Amino acid sequence: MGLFGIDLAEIVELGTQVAGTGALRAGEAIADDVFEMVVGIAMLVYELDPH
Amino acid sequence: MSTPDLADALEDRAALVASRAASRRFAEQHRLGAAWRWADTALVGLETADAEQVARRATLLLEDSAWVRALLAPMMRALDGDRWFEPPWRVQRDGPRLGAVIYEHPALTITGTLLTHIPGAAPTARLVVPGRLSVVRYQRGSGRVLLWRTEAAGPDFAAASAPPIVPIGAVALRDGLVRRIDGRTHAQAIEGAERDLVMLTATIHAGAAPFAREYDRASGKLLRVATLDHAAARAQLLLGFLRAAGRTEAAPAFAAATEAPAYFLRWAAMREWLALDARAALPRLRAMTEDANAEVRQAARTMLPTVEAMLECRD
Repeated sequence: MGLFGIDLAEIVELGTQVAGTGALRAGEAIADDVFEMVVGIAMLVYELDPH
Repeated sequence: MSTPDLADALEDRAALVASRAASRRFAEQHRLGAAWRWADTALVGLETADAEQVARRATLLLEDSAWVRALLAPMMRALDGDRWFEPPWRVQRDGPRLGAVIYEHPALTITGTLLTHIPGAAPTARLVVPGRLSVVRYQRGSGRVLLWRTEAAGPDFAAASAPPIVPIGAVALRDGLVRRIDGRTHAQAIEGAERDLVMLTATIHAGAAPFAREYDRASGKLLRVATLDHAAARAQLLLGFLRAAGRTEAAPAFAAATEAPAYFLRWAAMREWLALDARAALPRLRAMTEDANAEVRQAARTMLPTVEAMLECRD
């Protein structure tokens, strides 16, 4: 039994599509969430392969 | 500044170095200043208070024009005397809107906004219900703020059954006006301004709605939903990355996320897990057919027979 993954396009999504934080800008708060997320991903990539 | 002026200024290295040093000194002193300490004192003990308590204190703070002057004046003077001065603020420019975080506290964030007056600008077609209670001081105010209202969004908010947003009136703006807007249920748009607007907005952290929502102004219909749960949004992104990187050993992380409080994260995690390793995800998929959220239940019940059949074919 090998590894088997289903194509994401074949997996149903919820009726309510929820975007990430910062996707809607109301102009009231300064959101640098996207920056924080990019940093989070960069750290994870580094931890997986420090070399 | 014209291009030749800019070129001359950039060549004056000594002036740039001096300006940078002055900006650094200012930043170091900024949070030790009287206005910052006054706000810290006014908000003491409110770190875990509810939104109403924080809003009352924020209103008192923003109604105090002497405090507002004390907060802004040193920076205005510094900017006036040095065109290269860099205020110690996070700044964001978005079309005619220039905003900066000017005070931060665990209970609230105060941002300053300059909204450039553009005569004849088209009224906004979309309305945002940002999801947080805020108190606004219109330091320079003109025109009026139009208001709309909709129902609060709970943790199980479903787009399909979302009620529309409806107009509820307008409030005339003037210099120094301080008013509260409950962004958990209300949207606003400023129209009819005769000059640039300058606003100070205290955004209250406590009691935030789970979602920000965007509506179509003309029809009042819901257009988009975005989470205000930073941790859930980050987890969703990182799980997508783990799936793309083929990290099957991260199964415990996928499993944990399928039991997260945020319903959209539970299903997002299951989608990523099914795409990575459907066999490992199957037991949790079965359990999710009885999920507390109706949309998650429906999605799991739709996928379960398909996944079982696919795996059976491969065994």
